[in-house]
Amino acid sequence: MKNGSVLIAKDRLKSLLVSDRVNCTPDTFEKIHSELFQAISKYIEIIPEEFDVKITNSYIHITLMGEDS
Amino acid sequence: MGEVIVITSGKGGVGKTTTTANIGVGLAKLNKKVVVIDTDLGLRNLDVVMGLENRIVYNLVDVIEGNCRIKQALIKDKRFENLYLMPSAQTKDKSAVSPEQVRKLTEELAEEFDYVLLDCPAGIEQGFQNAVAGATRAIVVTTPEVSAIRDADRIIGLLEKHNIKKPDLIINRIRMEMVKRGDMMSVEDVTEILAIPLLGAIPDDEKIVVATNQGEPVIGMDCLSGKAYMNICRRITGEEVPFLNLDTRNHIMGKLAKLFKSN
Repeated sequence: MKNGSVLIAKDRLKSLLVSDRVNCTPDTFEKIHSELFQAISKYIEIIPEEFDVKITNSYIHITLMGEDS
Repeated sequence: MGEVIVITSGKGGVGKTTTTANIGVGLAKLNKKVVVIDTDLGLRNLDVVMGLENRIVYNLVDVIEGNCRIKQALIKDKRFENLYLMPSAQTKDKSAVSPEQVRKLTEELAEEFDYVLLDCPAGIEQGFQNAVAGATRAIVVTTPEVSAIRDADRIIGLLEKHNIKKPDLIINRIRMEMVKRGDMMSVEDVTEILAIPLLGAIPDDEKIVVATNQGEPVIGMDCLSGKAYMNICRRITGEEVPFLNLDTRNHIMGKLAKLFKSN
């Protein structure tokens, strides 16, 4: 696919939906993300590149092994 | 006992009413008994899209206020066996009916009809609350735009609170040439973001504008959008139908390429 505007649209939507879904600013979500990482890494060995937090309407998914990316 | 399905989107102008009209006709063509209800009080539109605007006597508010019986407010579409419209009121506003009243009405209708389709107004205020009150199933209509998808996501959250856990998704006005250029989100992009099951995608089709001008459905016509709507209706009834390839240009170009190769 050529470099169109879709990537920008998807990026904007991604942060927009997270803040809509949990009713917080993108900055706050970044903090949640990093604090969750710190909390989990106390007990489990993980690397930042393979750690992801996803918020859908009903669930918060925490990915540890990077299987989605 | 029939199913009560609300067709909603959050954002206005994405094609809820056109979708409701076409699904109504399509289900009727599949020999289901269907009633479509316009719940947009004050901004009546479904009657015009269906070409039934000249036959209105009573409306939804008349039924709820007890000015007439349910049967008197149902307009039979003469072109399609088994299809009825309950129009909205043009001179009342959203506060004229309550969610509880709509729920009672749809319950009664579901005893007689296979499908009760509710065309929901835009927004998330009382009009939305009224429309979803009686629904057991929901169809979320969106277009591949940031604003429409954002609103659809909010609606999905609100539907969840009304105990409609997995609404179905219709993506409207897809333009394949723009998707290919990377300037429009694809069906896959939108489905992945919203994370609900895809019921179908409708291409942006001039035929829909022409059909709406004439107050005709596009669903019986020999065009891509018509076929896409028909497939959606079959999926609603539980049939498994493969997704259409919306990329017509590719077909023609492919055929041309073959032609040149064989020469």
